[in-house]
Amino acid sequence: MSASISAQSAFLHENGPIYPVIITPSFVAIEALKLEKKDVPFIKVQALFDTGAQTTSVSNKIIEFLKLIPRGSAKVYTSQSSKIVNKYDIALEFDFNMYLNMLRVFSADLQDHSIDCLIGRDVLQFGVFTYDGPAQSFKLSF
Amino acid sequence: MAIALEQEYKYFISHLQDFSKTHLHEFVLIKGEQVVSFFSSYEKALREGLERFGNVSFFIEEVKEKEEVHYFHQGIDLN
Repeated sequence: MSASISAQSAFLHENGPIYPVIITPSFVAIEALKLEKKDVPFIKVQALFDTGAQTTSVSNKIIEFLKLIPRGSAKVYTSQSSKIVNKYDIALEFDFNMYLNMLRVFSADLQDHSIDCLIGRDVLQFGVFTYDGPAQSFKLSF
Repeated sequence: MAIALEQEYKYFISHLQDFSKTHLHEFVLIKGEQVVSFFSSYEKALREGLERFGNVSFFIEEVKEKEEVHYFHQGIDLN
């Protein structure tokens, strides 16, 4: 384990473990953009660590902002419905020296509009995630 | 948001059983209803798709024995 964060929130129970991340196109897409001498878009958003999500998802407005292009589709179930959704490639960067250069994510309309990314177990599988309710803190180590 | 690769997705699902007999755990690259090829990694399939078609939509998925479905418990509206 070489990279980690420890964060505290007075509203951890209400809001969940939220942490800022930077989202860009995947490294392969960045290579293509650089060859075309185009700017590489990036955006910093609030992400929720969501152990109930199998796969990371990103809000539609971020998909549109980054001009991401679909590279697949998959069937997704929630407690209310199921649907076929688009899959996109992104890179995900944390401010604690952790960078995933290729991650396949879903697009979604997130009901909490202050959150633009749900980080699922496809990311958490690489690290140790600790939720400490009494201390109102969480920790993630890779 | 509209499903951009519905044709490719349906083609993939309808041929998944056949694909899995000879290409299990490889990544298939599909455009329209045409299989371009199978690759050992997602990255290789993506690079081939970009080289062949440019930066447009195309379908890449890992071949598994049956369709993979995904689950969410958080409040999201699928679209």
